[in-house]
Amino acid sequence: MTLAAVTRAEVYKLFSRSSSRAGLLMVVLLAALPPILVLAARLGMGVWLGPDQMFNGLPVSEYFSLPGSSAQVIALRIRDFFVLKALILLLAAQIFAGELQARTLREDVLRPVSRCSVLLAKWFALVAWIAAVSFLSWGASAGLGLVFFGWGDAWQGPILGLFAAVVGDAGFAAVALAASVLTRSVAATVAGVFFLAVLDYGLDWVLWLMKMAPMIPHEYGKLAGQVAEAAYPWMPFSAFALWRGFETGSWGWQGAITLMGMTALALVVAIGAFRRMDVP
Amino acid sequence: MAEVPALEIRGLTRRYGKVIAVEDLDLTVQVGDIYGFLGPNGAGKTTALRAALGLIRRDTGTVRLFGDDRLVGARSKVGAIIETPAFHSWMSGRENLLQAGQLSGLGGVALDREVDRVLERVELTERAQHKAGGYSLGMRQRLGIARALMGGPKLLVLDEPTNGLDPRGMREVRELVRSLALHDGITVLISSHLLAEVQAMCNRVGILQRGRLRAEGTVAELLSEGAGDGIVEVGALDMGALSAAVAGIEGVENLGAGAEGRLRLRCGELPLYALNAQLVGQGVQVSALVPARRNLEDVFMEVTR
Ligand SMILES: Nc1ncnc2c1ncn2[C@@H]1O[C@H](COP(=O)(O)OP(=O)(O)OP(=O)(O)O)[C@@H](O)[C@H]1O
Ligand SMILES: [Mg+2]
Repeated sequence: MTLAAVTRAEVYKLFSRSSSRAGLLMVVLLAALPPILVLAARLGMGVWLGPDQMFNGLPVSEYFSLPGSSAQVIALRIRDFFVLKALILLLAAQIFAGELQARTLREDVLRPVSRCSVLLAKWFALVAWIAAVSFLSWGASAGLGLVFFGWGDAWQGPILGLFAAVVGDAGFAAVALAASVLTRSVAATVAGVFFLAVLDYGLDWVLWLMKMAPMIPHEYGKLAGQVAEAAYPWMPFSAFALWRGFETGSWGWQGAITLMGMTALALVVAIGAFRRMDVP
Repeated sequence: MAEVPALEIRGLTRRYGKVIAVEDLDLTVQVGDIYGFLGPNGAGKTTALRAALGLIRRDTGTVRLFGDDRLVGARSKVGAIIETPAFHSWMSGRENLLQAGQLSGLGGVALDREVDRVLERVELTERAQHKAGGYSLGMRQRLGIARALMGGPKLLVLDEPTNGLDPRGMREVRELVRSLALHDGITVLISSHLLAEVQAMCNRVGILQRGRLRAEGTVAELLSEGAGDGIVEVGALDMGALSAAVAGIEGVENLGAGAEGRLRLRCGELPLYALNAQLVGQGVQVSALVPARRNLEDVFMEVTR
């Protein structure tokens, strides 16, 4: 009951922040841009070359097309571009560490609600924002593609990918929020999570190299390759890339388990640290 | 009738590294009290209030709000301002209050009505739609009080609520606190450096120094303690003659200048009429003879010396 009330308040607060609004608008506009650009190119080509210019038996302008099914994939790609992760990180830093520094967190803690609820509500608000950005940008891109160029073909994979991407970013938001709680500083949250991301990237690279180790004519080479093959799907980078598997129809269950595990661990650690924290 | 105290602190200690901010503090605020919580800067008042509300960890000690040591739930009966109230600057004053109300479990029409009520109470209705980030210090202080009143608390904890208010604002807060106590039956725990305000407003006072409670009691008790010192302020047409005469009287100590150009004397056991007779006998034209009333400031200075 109270958790629902706190969440409602937290969602309202997050969505009224100028940073969250600007971020939302930016991502949605970015996603709407490709169909608009393609339409402009098509119309431009038509005017420039005239309607009768043919290429391989088709009017040239016909080659400029981005139907809904393709446009939604572009929305997914834009969504995955680091901009959204950066925004999530910034918001996670603001809604905990920022509020602790601004002392507004104290005013929430003074109310008759548990710290557990306060923190979960913040995570739910982030997830709500992620879902809003994701579905609105998907809708903008797919909708315009549909209106301008028709249905196209496959819809199912990208839509599954979209849902999986929201779940993946919810996990990322939990990690970012935990960093926000543990560091208690906006700057340190951003730096810390960026550092983790670099580590994750490095790990990806190292394991990728290790996968090639069997080419080395040495007994350890084969072993290293096997270890890398076995570990790869369990790693955080695989977990965060899970949505691609959904999009293409082949996802690894190991990544899903890692993602759930990371999300739960991050939330438990964050709540535990918050409960012991001085909120002056 | 032994009513459950509004706030009961027992054996509270809180350290910051080597600094002992609050040490073995016992404090009881009875229902109906307006309790003045005094002490010099850094005495530990804010720390004690934070610990009492569950904002910060306690090293030792227990806290009960209306007999309940589960502070999360008990906070529904408490409204508080700790130091300077903080607001979401991008939201209006009204929206800030709505947030607080939602966290107190209010919703719908009841929430709107409650916000209207508290805004009215602190006379901020007109500016309620403006962004809180643009409020003046005094307006923020009022909004803070309004927020503390959200949900109809039975205990108000106010940490220097008149900080930054103009003289009219201070008086309004004083009158507001009085009326909340008198008409709404709210118990108040108020920390302040304005001793005259506290003396005029509170029935009980506790004085903290270096984390320990040095004195506690009703205002009357504290003022009467040591009041038999026999301090008197004397005025005369010729103050020089007065000083000279005083020097010759056995057992009377000259304490220097008092209020309104009078001379402050400690006469110990000597009754006023005897002092007067001696002065007149030496040709001093006495124009005033006023037994000095101890005020809270005197008590504060003695206790925290
Ligand atoms: N977060 C903190 N870290 C370190 N020391 C602290 C912290 N908070 C308070 N203290 C110390 O605890 C002591 C009590 O501080 P507190 O703020 O409770 O005093 P106060 O009585 O409220 O003073 P004031 O009248 O100036 O508001 C001080 O010595 C202060 O330096
Ligand atoms: Mg203080």
